[in-house]
Amino acid sequence: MRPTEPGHAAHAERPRAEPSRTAAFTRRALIKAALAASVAPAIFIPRRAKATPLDALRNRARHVLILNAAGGLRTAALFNADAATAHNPYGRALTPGASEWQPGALLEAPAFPLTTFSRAPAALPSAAALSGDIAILAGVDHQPGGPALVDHQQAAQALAAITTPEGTAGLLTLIHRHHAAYATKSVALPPIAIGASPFASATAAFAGHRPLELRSAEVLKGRSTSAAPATRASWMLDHQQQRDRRFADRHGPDLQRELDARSAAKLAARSYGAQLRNPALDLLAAPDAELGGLTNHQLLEALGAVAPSTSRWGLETAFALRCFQLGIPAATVTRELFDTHSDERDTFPEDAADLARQISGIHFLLHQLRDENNIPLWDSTVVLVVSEFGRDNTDPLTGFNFGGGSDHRGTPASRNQCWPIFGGPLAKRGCRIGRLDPETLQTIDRPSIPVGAVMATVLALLGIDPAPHYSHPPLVELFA
Amino acid sequence: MRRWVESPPLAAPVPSALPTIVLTRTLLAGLWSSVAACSSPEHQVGEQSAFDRAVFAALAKDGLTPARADEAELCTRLYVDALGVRPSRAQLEAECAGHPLEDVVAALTARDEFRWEQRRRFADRFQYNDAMIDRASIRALDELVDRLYRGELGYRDFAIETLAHPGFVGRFLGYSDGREDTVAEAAFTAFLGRPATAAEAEDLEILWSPWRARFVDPATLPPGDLSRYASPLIDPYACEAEAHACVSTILGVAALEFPRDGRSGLLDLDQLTAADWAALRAPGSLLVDQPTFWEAAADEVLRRYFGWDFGAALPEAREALSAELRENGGDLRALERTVMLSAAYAFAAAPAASDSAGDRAPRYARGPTKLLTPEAWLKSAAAFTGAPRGDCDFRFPNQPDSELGDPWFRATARAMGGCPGAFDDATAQTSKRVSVPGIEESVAQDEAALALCSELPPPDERDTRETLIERALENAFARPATPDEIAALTTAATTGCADCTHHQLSTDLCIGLLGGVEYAAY
Repeated sequence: MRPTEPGHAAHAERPRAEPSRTAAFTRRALIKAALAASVAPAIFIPRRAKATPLDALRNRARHVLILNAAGGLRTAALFNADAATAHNPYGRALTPGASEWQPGALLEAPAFPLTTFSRAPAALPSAAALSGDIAILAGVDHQPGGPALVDHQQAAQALAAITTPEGTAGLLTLIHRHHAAYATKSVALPPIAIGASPFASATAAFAGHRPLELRSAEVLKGRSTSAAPATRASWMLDHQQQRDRRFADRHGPDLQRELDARSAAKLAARSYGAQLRNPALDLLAAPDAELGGLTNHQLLEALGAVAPSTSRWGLETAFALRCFQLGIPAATVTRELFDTHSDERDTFPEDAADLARQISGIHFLLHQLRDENNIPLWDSTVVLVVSEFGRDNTDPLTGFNFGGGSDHRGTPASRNQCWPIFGGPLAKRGCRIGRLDPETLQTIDRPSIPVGAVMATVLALLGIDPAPHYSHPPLVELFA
Repeated sequence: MRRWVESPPLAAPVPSALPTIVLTRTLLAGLWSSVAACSSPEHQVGEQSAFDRAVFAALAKDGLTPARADEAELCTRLYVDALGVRPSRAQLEAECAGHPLEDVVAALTARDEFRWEQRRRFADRFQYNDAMIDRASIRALDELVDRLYRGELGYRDFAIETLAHPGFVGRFLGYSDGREDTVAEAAFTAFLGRPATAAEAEDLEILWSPWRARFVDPATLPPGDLSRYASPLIDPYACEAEAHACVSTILGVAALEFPRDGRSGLLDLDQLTAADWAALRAPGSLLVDQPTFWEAAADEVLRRYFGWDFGAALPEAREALSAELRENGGDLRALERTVMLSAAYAFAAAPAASDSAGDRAPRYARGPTKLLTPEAWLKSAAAFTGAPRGDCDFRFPNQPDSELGDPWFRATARAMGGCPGAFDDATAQTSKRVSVPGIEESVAQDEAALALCSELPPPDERDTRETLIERALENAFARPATPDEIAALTTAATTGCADCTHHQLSTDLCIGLLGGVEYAAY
């Protein structure tokens, strides 16, 4: 900050004067600056001296991982466990971490032993014990003040995608379209969606920015050792691209977009083919492949994907973390496991424990894994657990419906979800943003948090201006 | 209509040097006989269909006279839609080019492959999954579809039977792992072309309440066999719990009145009487009486042959088809023939250079362009390379050993987004057909092209490179290659494949052509 620039003397909230420069002020310059400052605020205020709340958020993260616990996760039982029995029949964790929020007993699964790490605890701490590192967004609602969404498809769509006159775009599609890394081509692989979800929606004008969708990381099993077709007939493939261009141009605009999307996928496939052959992504067939300090087998163990554990998430979560090591900015993992209208008592504890294992494992691995600059991924990664709605319609005494499950009828209990969020970029951890009435799960103290605000936050964290896509401002309070 | 028929035969942007483009008006009149009814007297063959009249009325309002597709385009379209595979040039010339269109369509729709493709489409529509219902029930339902396409069953009766068939109902029953009954939702989607509202689903599910899923102990199954549900059972007293327990009112009053005869316990399907089955058909009888039942059938046929929501853009055309289906006794095969013989189906897909409307023309003024399904692409590519690879058995997507052909076909088609229904035990998810191929599917297709093209037999070394190129183009697109195409590809090969042997050149041509969007579209 140079002393001759107007306005500095008046902006004491950003004191940046250095002793040597202060000493170098002449009296003349100082008087001149003071005179200018007395006039300047009315006509000129240097932009850089006034930070917006969004600045605290922008580019805070290089990676965002969204665990989509689809089907309607009973979030109150896990992440707001001081709710009434109607909402949490499973109890509270006995030894939670130091947090404002109360973890549920199901997050306090038995310790997960680790045998493949030489310098690590013998077992992973439970997700409940890590609550001090996790913030909770309490009262996340699709349409605060509007009608409840109770249909899975509608709610999933509203969670993960936006619809505009240009077409429909999932969050990952928006990231693929607007993230600086893709504009500068510094990252080859697109965002990744593992498991089908609207996070990967891409129609009409967005079709060319579809993320990479994988049913499971298992489809890449053995790919690291198979022959690469991209090295064959490249001259003919280039020629065919020109033929395809002419073919698409001959058709009407509605078909051109579809044909272009198909061409774009082909082009991307040839570009990504080599990337997808990375042994670090061949988690099942290349267990000893190492990247950033850990082998594939170690990742799978930490996430419960090595026998005798039978995690339904572990393989996919491990794949997402490997993708981050390769520079991909965003990934979603979707598991359709939580629509427990009946027999929830039998199924939910196991699936919740698996989800808890992912939280513990991710927390551990982000501290262990390093990016291309040898910096722990923890410093640059934000993790979020979401679902399309919560659950309700339960007996206040038992916490279940007549079928031993729960439903999603649109009451506050299913509208107002509690989403955990954690990672190094968070400035506030262990806190709870928003509060819910323990009996009704209605919001108290502050209005519901729109889902759009959370998704806007994800975009802003990655350096993308969310304003053109979401009407709700991002949540800066966790990062300021 | 007269202007369209009397217009110059070729307005499509087809390369001018094609010898087969010299279609005389006589040949053209023969090919288009079924749509020339209102034109010159010497070419009157049959009446113009109500569907055609509706389309031309709309075109007249817009002042449009679309161009006709050339033979290669239309014959390829017919072959793929009817038989699920691209024709070779030899097949096209022997069985389609120069033949009256009615004869071509009649021959195609009489073939076993036509019924196989329609059965595959119904497999998608009914979401066959042998991990959720026994194979015998699926087989029986598939045979019902076959009867529909043999003309042995009308569409209305077919729907009623299906909605009381274990192969359909059993697929959507709730199970012990917490899944709800979704039979009503599936019925709406399958036969009314729309999702049921929550109120409709809740109200109508009652009519399927006697059905019970029957789980099979996995320990009794061979390893890897995912067929864990046997044929459903029927609870004859499901409606006894309270008065009006099995009455639906939302689409009209319908009651499931199961005969009471002192039977106890759950019944196997083969223990049911004719009266029992009549009762179980209540929900189907209700749905087929909905006004949208026939419209949904027409819409489905239009989407299948045109690839987009034609009926929504031109409701009069949809109404014409639905009326025809209603009045012809529900003969779905005849309805599909009407579409295949229609003028709209025969329009050129790409607007002509001289077409003043250009991009502004409505979509029904152009012929359809669709993408090959993964199964159709694989079958076509395998035929191109001279090594047929079978198909996937859409009835039993989880059967460990496919009853048909090459397991490679199923695995590859699945990786490309086809052959749906694979059940993942770890995630409890079932693979769905991918409607818009993404990167993963493209990678799989590229690998399949490499694998298939690597098996091409070596060409005759006496042929010139231009001959190899010309032959590859003709084989891929079932039409003569133009001099411009040959020249462009020859130049590319001279630069990129200068030192290639004939075999390498052939293989590279194969990989490139099969991998293009142009080959995947028809």
